[in-house]
Amino acid sequence: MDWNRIDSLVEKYWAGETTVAEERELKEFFRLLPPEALSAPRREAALLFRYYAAAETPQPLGKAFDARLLRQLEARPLAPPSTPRGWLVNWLKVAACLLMVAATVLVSRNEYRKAAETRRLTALETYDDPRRAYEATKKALLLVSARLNTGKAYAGEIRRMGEAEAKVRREAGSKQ
Amino acid sequence: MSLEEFQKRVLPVKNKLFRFAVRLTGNPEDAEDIVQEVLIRVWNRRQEVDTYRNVEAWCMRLVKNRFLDGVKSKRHRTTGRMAEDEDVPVHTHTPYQVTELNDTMQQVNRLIEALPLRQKQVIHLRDVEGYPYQEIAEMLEMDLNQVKVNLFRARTAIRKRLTDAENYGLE
Repeated sequence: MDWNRIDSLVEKYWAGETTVAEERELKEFFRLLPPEALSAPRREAALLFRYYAAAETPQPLGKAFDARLLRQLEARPLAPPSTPRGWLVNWLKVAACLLMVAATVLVSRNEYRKAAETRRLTALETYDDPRRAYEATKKALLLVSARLNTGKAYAGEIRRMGEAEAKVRREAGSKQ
Repeated sequence: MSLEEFQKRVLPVKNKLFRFAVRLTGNPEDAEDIVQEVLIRVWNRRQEVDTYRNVEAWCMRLVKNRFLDGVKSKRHRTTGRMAEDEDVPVHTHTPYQVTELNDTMQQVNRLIEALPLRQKQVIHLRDVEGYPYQEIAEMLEMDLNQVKVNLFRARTAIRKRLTDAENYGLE
């Protein structure tokens, strides 16, 4: 009986560091050892492991239980295929919400980019130097004024035609 | 899955399920009902059995869930609510009346019974049944760290109570 090993395993057990195999070894060791013959703290470990060893042995569900169960099972048809499970439905709801959030973020980002581009272009056509601004304004106004009288001759002809038509109508009216 | 296959693959786990159910309910009659219901449920879903990597862990999980459903509906009828992590009161029977434990063993049993539900589940599955942490995590639908933390707390509490009992006499 190697008490050094057992004591060190028991300490490991209390620290939560034993493996399943080591815990099995402790159970087997203490299974037949009367705790009364030991001093504390070995007695505490012995009590506990004897209990674990005793608690894993009961086999109360025997053949009578099997027979009763199997009679019930034979009478049962196969259940229909299961419907989507609750957790699946919940996850789909979460996925739908995430999709909506992602779509909103994408659309907002595009709108923001467009607005930023417009602001950038507007800023490019603006002058900080008053002299350059004056020159640019003058150039723009000259361009407008050069085109302003284009079509004036055509407008005169249309006006004369209108006056002639009105004169003809007046003369035709006086003859009647 | 045929009935013969069910008898070979699923039925042998019945006593482990029963011991776990007794630990949860504290009552052998209720535990037997739970095990029977769970095995019938597994049989009804026998087409799914092959999709589960660990049928034993699946069955244990069904036992735990069936127990919690029962407690929830009982609570719902009486108080209308129940928190998952609440400690669940058990019957006055000690679960291992079905065994021939002597008085000292019954006292150790009561120490475990007095633990909070999660700690009680974890210490039973690990220290009585000898399951690895990963399987316990699957059975109880817990994080691996939660399993370790609950086990450590359970062992620490039991050690303290055993030491107190040693110093001041068992209850």
